[in-house]
Amino acid sequence: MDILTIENVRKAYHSHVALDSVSFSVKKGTIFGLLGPNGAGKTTLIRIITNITKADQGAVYLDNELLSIHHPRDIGYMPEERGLYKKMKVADQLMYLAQLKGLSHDEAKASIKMWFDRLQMAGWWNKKIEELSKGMQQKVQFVATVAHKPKLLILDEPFTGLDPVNADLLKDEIYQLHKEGVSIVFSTHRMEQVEEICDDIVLINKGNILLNDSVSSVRTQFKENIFTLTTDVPAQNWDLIPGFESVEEQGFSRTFKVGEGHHSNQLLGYLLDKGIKIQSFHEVLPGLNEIFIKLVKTESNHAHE
Amino acid sequence: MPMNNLYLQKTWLIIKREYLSRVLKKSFLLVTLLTPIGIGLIIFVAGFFAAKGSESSKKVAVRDESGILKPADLTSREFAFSLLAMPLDSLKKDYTQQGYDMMIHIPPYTDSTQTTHQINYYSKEKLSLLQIEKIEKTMEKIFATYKLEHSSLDKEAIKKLEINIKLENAMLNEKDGDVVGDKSSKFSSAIATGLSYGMGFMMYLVIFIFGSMVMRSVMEEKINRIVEVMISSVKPFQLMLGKIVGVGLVGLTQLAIWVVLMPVIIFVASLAFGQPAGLTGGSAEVAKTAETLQKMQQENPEVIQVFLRELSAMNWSLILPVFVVFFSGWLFHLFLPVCRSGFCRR
Repeated sequence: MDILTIENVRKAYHSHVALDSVSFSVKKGTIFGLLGPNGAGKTTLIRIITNITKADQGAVYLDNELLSIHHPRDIGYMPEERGLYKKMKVADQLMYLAQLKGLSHDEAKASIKMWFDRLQMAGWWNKKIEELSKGMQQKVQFVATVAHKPKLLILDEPFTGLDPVNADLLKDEIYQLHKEGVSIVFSTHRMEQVEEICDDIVLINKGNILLNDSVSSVRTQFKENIFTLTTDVPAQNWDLIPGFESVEEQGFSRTFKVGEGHHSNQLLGYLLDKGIKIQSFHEVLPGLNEIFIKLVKTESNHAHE
Repeated sequence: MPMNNLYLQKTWLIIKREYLSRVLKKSFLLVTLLTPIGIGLIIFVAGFFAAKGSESSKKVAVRDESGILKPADLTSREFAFSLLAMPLDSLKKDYTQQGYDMMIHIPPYTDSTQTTHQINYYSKEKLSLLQIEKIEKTMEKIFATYKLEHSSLDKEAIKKLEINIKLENAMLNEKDGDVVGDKSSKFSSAIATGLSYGMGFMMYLVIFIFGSMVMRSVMEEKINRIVEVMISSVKPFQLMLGKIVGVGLVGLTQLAIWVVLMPVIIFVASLAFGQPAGLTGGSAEVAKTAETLQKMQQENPEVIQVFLRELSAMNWSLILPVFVVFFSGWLFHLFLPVCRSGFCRR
């Protein structure tokens, strides 16, 4: 079951094509990473999903229904540019935003109270937004995003501007919501967060999809047969056999690449024969960061040619 | 776009927020209360100085060599004339020592066919145009009377030639004669004059103050960067409608408070200081209105009752719809910058 389906969505501003026939889907209850460099079209796509702008072509389905003006109720959106009414009191503000999403007065109040307890925000009820610190404002912003219990949560660069403590707190809340069955779409250009949090990703560059898969299969797909081996003697005391290429030597460990038609067992057998004790041996999978840079670079090289 | 219940409900929420967030601001309360008080204060100060100015009339020494002037003719609110018979040269030198502010010298007037006659004044301060005109008028009157007396024309015949025309509103007299009598018809035109000035003032305020208020309120979302959160919940049209109606209601609230407060304060201020000349700022008509009101007040102690009766006798069935038409025109005018900034959203 998919919570969100994007079908051939195209959007152009004047002569600039922001999205060129993009299609992918997000499975229900997963954490989905929407990746891409600056200007890739992530924000445009999010704005189409959140009903802020309309696509020129294509369709967006939320929970198998064509997107309509009734759907804001089901979507929680935290934009990259956070903002709240500075002069308003925290509670008034949250009540206002939740009711605009379609909650009744009482539903909104109950939900906001629940979140105040959950995020330890007691005592903020009557404070004005401008009296709060930035971290506190972020918490309020988060509550504003989730107070109406959306099925789909869209977070655009959620961790920018957060200190490590608040970032951790937000991460925990995201996991908690994930456990409660909320589907989450993440937009970011910071790969280490994606590796840590996301199940599936889509990588967009210049309005086109470069990659759409689960994080683990992406990493296997892009592995380069690189291994790291640690032994009980300094690495310089032994040489690699033909077909193996050294990448890096450091103390007792060596990183190497296995050539085409060869297997790491050949090297291990060779070392065992020589009486060298093996302490650890593991494959080095490429980080999403490297894959990201590699893909985006090849893409732009193609464009230049 | 379906106009369902939820749609209206959300728009109503926006209107409510826009209205309350402005009306409950301290600055709104301050401006709303201080503006009428400030205007009252201006009237107060102007009235104070006007009253003070008329108290200290200029002392004028008059050296008349024509022999036409008589002390009885020389009466004026602004000037205290004294006819002196001293030699001109010594008077020129020491009119100040004798306690006079200025001296006027009237040379002999021998040829009664002469139509211009130059008289001179000696003063440390220059006289204002108004003062010169006033003295000229006084002198012209005296000389004219003198010339008439010494002409061959019959005095009685001249008296008979004079006529004083009075213009009164006959319609009001006919409609309800018991309420609107001979005096109050003038009174009601005074009120109408005041009302038209008040309305003009309101239009001016409305266009300048509230136009910029709506502009600023549209900018608010962009400055606060909440606009994305807002329009992911509601249609931009709803947001704009909410803003315009909300701010428009704020404007109406403020006007309503002013409409009630302003006359009360102006009335109190003008009661305290006979002439609210400061309000007029040179507008003769309003000064006349005030004068009429004042006269009415002296002649009729029940002036406030008459005032209220006359006020309710105004043609409100015309005034109010016209005001509403103006106000909705103004709302439409507001739509233009709002729509423009709406379209500019990236």
